[in-house]
Amino acid sequence: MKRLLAKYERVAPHARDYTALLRDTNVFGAGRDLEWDEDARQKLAVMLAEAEAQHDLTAAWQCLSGGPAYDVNAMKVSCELEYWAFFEPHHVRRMLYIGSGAYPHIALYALARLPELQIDGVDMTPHCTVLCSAVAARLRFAERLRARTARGEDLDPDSIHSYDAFFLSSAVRPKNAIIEFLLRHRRPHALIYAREDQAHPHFYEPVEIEHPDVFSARRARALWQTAKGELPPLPEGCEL
Amino acid sequence: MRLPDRYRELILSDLDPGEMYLQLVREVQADRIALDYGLTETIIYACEVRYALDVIRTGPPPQWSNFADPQGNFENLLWPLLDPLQPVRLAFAGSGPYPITAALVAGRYPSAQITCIDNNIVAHLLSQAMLERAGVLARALFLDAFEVDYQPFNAVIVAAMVTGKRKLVEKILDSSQALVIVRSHIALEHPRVISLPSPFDEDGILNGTLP
Repeated sequence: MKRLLAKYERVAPHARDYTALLRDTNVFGAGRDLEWDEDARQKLAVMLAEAEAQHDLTAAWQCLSGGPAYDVNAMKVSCELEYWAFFEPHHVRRMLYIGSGAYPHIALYALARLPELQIDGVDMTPHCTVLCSAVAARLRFAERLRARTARGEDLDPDSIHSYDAFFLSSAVRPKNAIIEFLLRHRRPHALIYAREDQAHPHFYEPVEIEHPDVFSARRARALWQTAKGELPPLPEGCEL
Repeated sequence: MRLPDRYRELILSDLDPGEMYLQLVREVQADRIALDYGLTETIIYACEVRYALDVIRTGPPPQWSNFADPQGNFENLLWPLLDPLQPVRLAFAGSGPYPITAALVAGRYPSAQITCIDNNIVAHLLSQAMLERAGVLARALFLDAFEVDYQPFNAVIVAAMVTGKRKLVEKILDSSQALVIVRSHIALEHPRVISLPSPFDEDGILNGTLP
């Protein structure tokens, strides 16, 4: 990890290659033999967050500038799996998206396909919620996608009860504690989908809670494989 | 506190961000709402993010001006403090997505060394892109203000919305010889600490005072 950190510290933050960073830290690939160093891990995690935020921001301001939709592959987001495994079969209507960021790609994908879907997005970064609101307005989803600033762990139990589904982005922390909190306060049978990055467990918290109403990305991938006979495609750098 | 719908509509309106800010503050005054930090962030960053995006998209404005201080009261108080410190080596703690003070300082002192510090990744990235696009000679540092070594600086501005100001100011005083300029009232008396008036209280909460 120390050597890897030194390699990426030589590159200016805005010039860092997100895909290369993911490839080098992928525990199923080049990152298999990384030697643990907590200080280096924390700094690499910051670099990953920085690269991710850079893409999220670029997607938002490209949208606000009227440019073409940002490349989902660059953002390392797939929408098909989540839509197929979660949104579509469960007729989700009112959902809370935790860690919605500035440009919640999956939420926008689902909103475009499910006219009755309403999403509240929360993110701990106020700049992101401001941008997300502007993106929603620009895409004519202002009444169906509402963003506000909050931490997942600080959510009001009464408001949790009002949703029939929850969605957590990969970067949300403490993911498992938030899932437990949601399970405690949700209305009966409300579902939870938690994204995770199996290839980067040191940097993105894996889902450890087993519950019939909790869809981890692993579970969704397994369902996809059973139904379609092949694994869903994963973004470059996140291959298993 | 949740953002009231009327405020949200203003934030999403086509108003100039500075005008939007003034209207929001007027609404807050009229509603006699005591803002909390979260709502303050939403109001302030709604303006700053929009300004930053405007600069990134279309370049710098013909003249920099601070939306929260359109009369330039802060600048009038700041220049007499910085003029004797040439060359200025300024750290701007909690500079946010739109570090207007850095742009103003760089305009007045072309040889100034300016470092904008923010611990929020989005604020950092936006400010970095904005400074670069505007050609402002200042570097952006993604770091918690408490982790910065202030020894190389002869002046530090602590932004109005920084929380835990008192501890931060004490740290700066203990670890450097810099003049510390705080953009709000602070209950700390020290010959190197200057507290300048602003519509924010010590905890960074907007108190609804119009500029």
